[in-house]
Amino acid sequence: MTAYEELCAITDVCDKFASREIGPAALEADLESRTAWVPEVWTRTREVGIPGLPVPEEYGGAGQPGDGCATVIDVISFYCPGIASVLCNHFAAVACMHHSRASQKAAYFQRLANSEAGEPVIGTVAFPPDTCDLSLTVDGDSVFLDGTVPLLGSALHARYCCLFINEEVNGRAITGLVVDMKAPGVAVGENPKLPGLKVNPFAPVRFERVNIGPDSLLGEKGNAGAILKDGRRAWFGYLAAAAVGAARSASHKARDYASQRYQFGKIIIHHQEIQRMLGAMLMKIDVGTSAYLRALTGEKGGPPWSVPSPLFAKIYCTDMAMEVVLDAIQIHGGYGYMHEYGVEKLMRDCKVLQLMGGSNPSLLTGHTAANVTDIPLK
Amino acid sequence: MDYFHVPFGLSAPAPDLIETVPALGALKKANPSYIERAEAAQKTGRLFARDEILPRMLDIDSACARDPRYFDWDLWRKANQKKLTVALIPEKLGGLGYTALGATILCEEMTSACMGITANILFNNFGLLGSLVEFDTGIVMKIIRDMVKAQKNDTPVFWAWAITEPGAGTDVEEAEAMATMRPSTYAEKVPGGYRINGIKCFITNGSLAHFIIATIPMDRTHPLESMATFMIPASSKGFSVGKVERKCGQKASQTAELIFEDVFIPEENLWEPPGRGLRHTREILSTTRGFVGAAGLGIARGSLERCVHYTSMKKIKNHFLIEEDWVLFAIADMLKDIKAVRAACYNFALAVDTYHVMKLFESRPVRTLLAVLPQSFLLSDFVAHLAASRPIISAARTIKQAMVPDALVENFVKEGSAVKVAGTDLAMNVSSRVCDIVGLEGMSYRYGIEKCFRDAKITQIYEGSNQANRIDLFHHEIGSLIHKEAAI
Repeated sequence: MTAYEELCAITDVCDKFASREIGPAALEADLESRTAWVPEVWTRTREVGIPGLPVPEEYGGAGQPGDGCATVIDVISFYCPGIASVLCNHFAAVACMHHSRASQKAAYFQRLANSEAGEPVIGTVAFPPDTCDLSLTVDGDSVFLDGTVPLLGSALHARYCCLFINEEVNGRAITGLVVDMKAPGVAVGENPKLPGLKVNPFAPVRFERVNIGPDSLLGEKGNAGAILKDGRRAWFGYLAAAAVGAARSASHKARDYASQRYQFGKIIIHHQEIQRMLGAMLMKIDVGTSAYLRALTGEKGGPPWSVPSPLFAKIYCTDMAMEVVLDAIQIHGGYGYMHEYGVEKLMRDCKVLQLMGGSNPSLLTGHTAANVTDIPLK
Repeated sequence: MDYFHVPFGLSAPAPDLIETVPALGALKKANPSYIERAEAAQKTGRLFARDEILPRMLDIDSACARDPRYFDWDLWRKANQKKLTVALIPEKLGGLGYTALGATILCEEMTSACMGITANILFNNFGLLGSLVEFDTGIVMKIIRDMVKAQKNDTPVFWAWAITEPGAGTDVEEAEAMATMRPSTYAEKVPGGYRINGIKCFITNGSLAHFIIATIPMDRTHPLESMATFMIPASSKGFSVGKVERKCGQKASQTAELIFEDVFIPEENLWEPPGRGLRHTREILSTTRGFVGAAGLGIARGSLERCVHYTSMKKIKNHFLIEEDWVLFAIADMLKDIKAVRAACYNFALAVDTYHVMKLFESRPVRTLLAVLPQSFLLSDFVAHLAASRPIISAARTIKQAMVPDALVENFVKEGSAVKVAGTDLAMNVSSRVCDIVGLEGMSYRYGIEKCFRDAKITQIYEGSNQANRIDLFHHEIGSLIHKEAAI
């Protein structure tokens, strides 16, 4: 089986699974903001091996590379972007865990790959600037973690969190950690009630003198910059894929609705303005899909001056998903604003996806700023 | 909420209308009373928005999310005591005499705090606007008297305007479309009146309404030719309210399905005869689309104000978010659009007061009469009887028809459509962009920023989708100029 055939087989299984287990319950879960649905779904996803997708084969996982994982996120997001966003965090955490100590890998990876074992092992990630409030203090042989992550995705149900701390004010001494979310001193705060991705249990998390064992380090202390970069690249790529899945869902709904709604003397899909909107949706989704796939497959398949960027993929895909969803609502007319049609939910979900990992304009600003460090100010 | 801390917008110490729109200063010299009422509208609207709506909007939003039929009667009574529910009725008759300009400004102030709550309070004017179309002076006086009396007794009289049907939204608002629409609702002639059957949907205040103004065809195969306008009391036998919708936003405002099963309506409740129903709808749209533009303006303004408050208290490292360059540019850009759209909205309202039906209240004879005659006389049974007499009705109708000819109505639909699209697209763009500025934490429910975003989307859809509005705009401005025989 080629890698492509393998991926097709995986997405087919995941699509069937999600259409059965996730799609039908997603609207009601959104209505009730039922975050408890996440561990329930998670337990079922283990039947088709989703949590262990990126886990190396030597630990019993599927060893799927980034683009494969992103495709699965795209598939899941079609049915529920909220669940997909939990997967984004989880897969990004696994990407960071590749650099963890052998003991940690053994502990987490094997539990992830095992389809039967007990409680769900959901991972999540926190990157600067969200972690700039965190600090490490050395006390004898022990190291303690203190501070707050203002808003952490999957917080309530995460078993572990990979986070990165800037140890110097302007320095590049980055320390990466994997923190057990059940450890003493970890306090998950109140859900801020975001408008979308309502099943994802976002919350502020407070760390108070959390004892960090030597095994918790990702890479070497003060030298995890490259791991952070890898983790964040994966995360942005996955968020882009989640946005594409949501946009696909909106465009399908819009097409279906436009194919049966009669207005202005014809079925509305025969109006040119509707055709233009539907065409633009497919175009944006197509370009977005290429963007996240290319960003996650590395530097293959493009001219030498064009470097694939998961950051740009995230920004492009989440922004285009918002445009697609807004047009889809417009095509639905009043029905698009009503909960039962599920399109307005996609609008709320996409808004939060746009803001995960930092809002898009601030990311663009920050990206340029980070690349001009060698140009003098005056 | 304590985060409204910058003296900007709703939380500014005192509003100054002339400073907001300096051109109105010139108008004030020519017509002081007109602008003074607009200033009063701004002041009243802002105080009510800041002191009453703002502190409760989130609680009401979440209560309505749990139960779409939840209604905050206490807040409604507070608005009623300030006469906001009868704002358009002249002062001498017991209202606030706010004029279209005043109502636009009031709408902007209130929607900047919460669009849904504003709909509960201001959309009631549909009743008055509807009756002004036919201008049966007997009915107009009756509605004014009923509304004023109810206001004094602190009891609600709700009016709803029902045109949308499950299978027809845009089709009920435009002639070419109406000719091809497939109505579900229909009326039949029976002795002494009409029998109505069918379903209307997405009706604002439909579940609260005491009276419903509905456009319904007599012949389902010829909707345009047979469309009529009925006034249907909610107490009619066979009338019932179906589901109240669960919406994305504007949750405080109830949107309901109305069901008619063999509802009998007496002859005198036929407001527009078959064939004139669309004309009635168009005349209402010719003023209301402009108001929806102003509501969009208010939502955009509310979003921007919350953005300023949030970003000026949100610390990033050693500075505030609002001190970032990119935030400054984004805010300035939105301010620019808001100012431009505000000028367009106020301009439209001025035109309604000067050329449209509202000019009747502003005309010298009417203002003189209202100034001279005592209120007890104006609201007396004698005047009501007089207004309902045949000669008066026919004279008034003649004057009104000369004053508001069809061409004027269509011109206002065109101009109103432009303002509506500009205002509501602004609402969506600004509220979405503000979310992008404040980021994930700023989207926490308690800041009300995400609520503006949810509220904004429907404004692009109701009162004619923005696509339908664009068609109106094009046809009247350009389409009518194109000669088809001039093919190259």
